[in-house]
Amino acid sequence: MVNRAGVQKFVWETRSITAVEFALIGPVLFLLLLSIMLMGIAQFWQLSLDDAVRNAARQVAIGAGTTSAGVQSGSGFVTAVCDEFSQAAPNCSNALEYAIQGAPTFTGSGGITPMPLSTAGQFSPATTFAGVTAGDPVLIQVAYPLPITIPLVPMSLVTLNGTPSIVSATATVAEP
Amino acid sequence: MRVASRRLGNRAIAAVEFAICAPMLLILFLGTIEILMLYRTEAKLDAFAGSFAQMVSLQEVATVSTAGVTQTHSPVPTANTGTTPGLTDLCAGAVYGLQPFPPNGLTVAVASVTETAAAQPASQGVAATPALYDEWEVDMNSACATTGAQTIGATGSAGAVALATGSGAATSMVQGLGDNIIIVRASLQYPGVIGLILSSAQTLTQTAIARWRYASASNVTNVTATPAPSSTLEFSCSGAGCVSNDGV
Repeated sequence: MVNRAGVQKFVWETRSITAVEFALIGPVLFLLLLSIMLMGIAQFWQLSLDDAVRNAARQVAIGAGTTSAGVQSGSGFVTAVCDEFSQAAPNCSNALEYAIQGAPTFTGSGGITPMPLSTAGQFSPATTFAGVTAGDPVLIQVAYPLPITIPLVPMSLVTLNGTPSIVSATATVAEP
Repeated sequence: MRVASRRLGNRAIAAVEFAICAPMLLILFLGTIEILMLYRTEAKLDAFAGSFAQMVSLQEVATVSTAGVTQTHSPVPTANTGTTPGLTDLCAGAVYGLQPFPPNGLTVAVASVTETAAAQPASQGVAATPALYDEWEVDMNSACATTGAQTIGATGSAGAVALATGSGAATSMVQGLGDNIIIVRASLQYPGVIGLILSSAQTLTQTAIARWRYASASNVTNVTATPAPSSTLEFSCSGAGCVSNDGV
């Protein structure tokens, strides 16, 4: 049975009312504040990743490291990116997805088709390294899934690119 | 307020406070998105111009012979030459690098300025003017199709030459015979995401400069025959001498 007197007493009780109201409003407030903070952190990661990818792409373009352990391989590329990027972002070498494709031309038959990014922010296959030849165009795409998520907040908004991953792409020509 | 507090007592104080703060928080939130997005677009545009200029600067172009003028400087053709990428292709590649952003509203101008032989005889088809700058400019839209709009400087490739040579020798980026620069200027009409902070569309512009990899004194224009008068190709001649055209 509902204790009517008890309910009435609770409804008209005014002690701790601010705390109760704050308990209701606080989550919304913190969600908003945390989102703003995470957006700032995500953009810091974005800039760090852009820079790391640009440097690694340059190494691919100039043919640095021609052995399998060098930059001319998927694992070498990840090492080159994460040497720089992992100082800012956690779990870089495991989480990084990449698509590195080379061809005689970007467009036309035999050209490069950019690897589509799924709405989950992933490449399929997750890693590609193919066709990089001296003098040829190269397209380098990298995705880094955000390691932190906030419940109820769409991460595609936080990364500002429509997917829950931080994405960096750069086009270059391998030095002849 | 006194009426409200009399009616509600201590009730809804936090709710009222939140109602006062919420609009400001929301503006902070939306403004964060807007400013970060603007900054991100600017950074991407900068990267676009830089990678495009770098890609153009690496293209080795076979000797081109038009209307009797043989030249080995850097007029990268618009279309592909066999499997050698042309400007349209490199532009498309640079647009791939914009991902995941669409290239909507993008215009790009790419120009090459080369200092040719200082005083070639007019009979050879080149004006006998010291420090003659031979140049071309190609303008493209977001689909990398060529357009007529000139966006480097006010008057087409003359603007590119002005940018390359500066007002005096000290600021000139082309320093000697055979020296070359490649200029890429990318502009983007940025509409804003929400329109709350940036109420009007912004035009972002980034310029990137590269030097043609094969630029050397021996690679400048070699004139092997006199071009036909009123040629619509690389050079046009009149009684006063020959001048280079703005052409591809």
